[in-house]
Amino acid sequence: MIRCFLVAALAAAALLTAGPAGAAAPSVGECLDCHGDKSIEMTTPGGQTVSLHVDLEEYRRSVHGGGSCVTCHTDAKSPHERLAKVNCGRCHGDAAKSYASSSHGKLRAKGVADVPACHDCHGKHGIRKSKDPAARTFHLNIAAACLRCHKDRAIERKYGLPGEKEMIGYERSVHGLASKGGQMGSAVCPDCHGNHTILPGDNPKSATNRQNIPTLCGKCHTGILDKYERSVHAKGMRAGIAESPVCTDCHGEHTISKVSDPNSPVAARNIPKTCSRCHDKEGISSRYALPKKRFSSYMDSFHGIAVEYGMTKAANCASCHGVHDILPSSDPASTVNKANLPNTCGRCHPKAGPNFAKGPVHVEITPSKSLGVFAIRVFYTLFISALVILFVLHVGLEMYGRWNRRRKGGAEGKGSPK
Amino acid sequence: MPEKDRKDPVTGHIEKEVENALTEGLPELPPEEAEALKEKVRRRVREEMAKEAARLAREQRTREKKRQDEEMGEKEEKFERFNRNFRFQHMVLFSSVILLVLTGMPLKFPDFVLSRFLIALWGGIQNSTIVHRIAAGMLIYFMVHHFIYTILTRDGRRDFLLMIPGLQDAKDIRKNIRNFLGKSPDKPSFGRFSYIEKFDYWAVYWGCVIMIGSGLFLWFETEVMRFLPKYAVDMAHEMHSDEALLATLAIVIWHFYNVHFNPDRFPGTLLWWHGQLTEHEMKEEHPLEYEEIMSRRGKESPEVADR
Repeated sequence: MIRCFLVAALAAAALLTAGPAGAAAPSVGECLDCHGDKSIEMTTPGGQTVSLHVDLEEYRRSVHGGGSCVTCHTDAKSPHERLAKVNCGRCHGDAAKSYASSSHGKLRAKGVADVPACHDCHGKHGIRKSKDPAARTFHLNIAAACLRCHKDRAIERKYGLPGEKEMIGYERSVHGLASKGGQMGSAVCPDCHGNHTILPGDNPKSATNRQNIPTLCGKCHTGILDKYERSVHAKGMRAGIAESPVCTDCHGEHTISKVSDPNSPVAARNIPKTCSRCHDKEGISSRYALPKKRFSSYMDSFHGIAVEYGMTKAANCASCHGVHDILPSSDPASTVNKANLPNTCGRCHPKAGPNFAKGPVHVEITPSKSLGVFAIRVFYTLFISALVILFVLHVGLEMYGRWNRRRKGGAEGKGSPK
Repeated sequence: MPEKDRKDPVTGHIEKEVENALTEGLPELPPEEAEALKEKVRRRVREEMAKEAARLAREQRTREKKRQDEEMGEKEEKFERFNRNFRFQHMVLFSSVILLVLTGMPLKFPDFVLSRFLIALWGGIQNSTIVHRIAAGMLIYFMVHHFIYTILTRDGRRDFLLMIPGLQDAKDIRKNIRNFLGKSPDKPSFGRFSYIEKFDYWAVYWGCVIMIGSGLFLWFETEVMRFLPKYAVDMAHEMHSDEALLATLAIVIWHFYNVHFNPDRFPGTLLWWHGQLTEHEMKEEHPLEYEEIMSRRGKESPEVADR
């Protein structure tokens, strides 16, 4: 019994003396002897005071909680001077590699300290798996992590980033609202921009590059991507025509909102303006041999005026031309192909017959396009002008006559004949 | 004047009272000063009394003049220009046209400053288009009513025939213009309808036919397009829109000036309500009709006397 105790005491003594004396790495407990103290601080060369406290509880609950301090802080001894920076890439090689190729990584390599390093998004001692709702990188928390810098006006200005408005726009967008509402399917920043490999949109490799947008949105909106792929817009996009619209050109980017939102560019009332951003451009219609004056002729029609006054059940561009699967009228599958027009009109005008297709839908009042309407307009322009001139002449002459009589007649003519 | 006789004793009485009051109130003053003061007060009182008398006389005169005018007005014969039926038609017509213009013009001129307000007035375009169709129904009713009136009533037939323009109207226009220019002192003598009124009438006729015709095309476009191609509806649309402008301008310039803003009538007349013209107006505006009525009476009265 006594022997037993002695052995234990010796062993304990040996262990105790081994710590300070030997060069062996310190245990978590040893580190916490100092770093467990809440008041432990350091002053950086810049003059800032940084707390050196490590919350053991938090660390233990983290994904690395089962390991030891020295796994990351490899140069830690007890006691120690300022430690080298932690290199996450020692274990997370792939992530480090893709981070290095991202905008953030490249700038960091140049020594820009504003860009986030691993810990700015993932945290330090309390890193958790992204599936853990308490993780900073958890689906519903990540936007807040990104916006910490991307809503900072000083940073936006310094690096020419999209303005604060755009970022607030995300929070109010259909995606942002869904994410705020706790929907795991909602699109958050990394869903579009990538996580470690974030690149600016003008980089062809970027997920948010124009050419990649349809695929990107199609990750979630599969059915719509299929429709879009069939459209003339997708055809143009595939041909590398940068003017051919992708999802974001109509829907917006960060500010994407529901069709039912009256401020959405794809709300029924705003559709004509959204489409005419391209289709009312002289350059685009001549370059791609598109019919001109689509917007003005639409706005002159009852449909256009009614939509303008807020009658959203009146036809807008998409009501006839389709939405994602827009095809040129020359395509037999197009909703605005002459053969399909009665059917298309019939969606709102029940019993629409073949006569609906006889005559232009976008009425341009020129002799070559619609002679009958043109003739009526010319007739009335002349007729109205002539009559108004005659009216005004007659009324003017009568008044002149009265004035003349009064002037000549003096007191007698004063009281006009009554 | 009777007022003066009536006033004098009163004036005298008041003067006496003032005199008494003055003598009682000024015992201590030296007599010259008291006399001067009395004189001053007397003068002032007389002035005031004269002013009051003049005011009363003025009031009396205006009252009498008004009564005389009323008596004269009652004595002057009234001629019924528009019968009750015709007045009703006119009311239906103008109510419908006002509604049509208010709900239709914003569609022709969506950029006009008042357009949005005019549409919002009905609670949005969904409602304003309904109002437009109700007013269109009123106009169609008016057209049918007037048609039947023209055929079935004696007044209607007579007026329709009198509305037909003739050579005399061309002469009247010439004469009237020469008069306006001061080249000739005499004005044309109009019958029941002057060329101005004939123009107004036929403008409405033409307008109604075009507006109702093209309007029905637009109202029932699906049914119309069972028989006619879409470009026929487009033409109707253009016609509806242009004719609407013409009609509005004709009403605003021609009709409003000649009926409302003409200095003889300004700011308007209740003729549309009571339908009556005074003898003076008849002589002035429709002398030939007046003469005709008078001569007819002249022929009739002996017969009456014979009975």
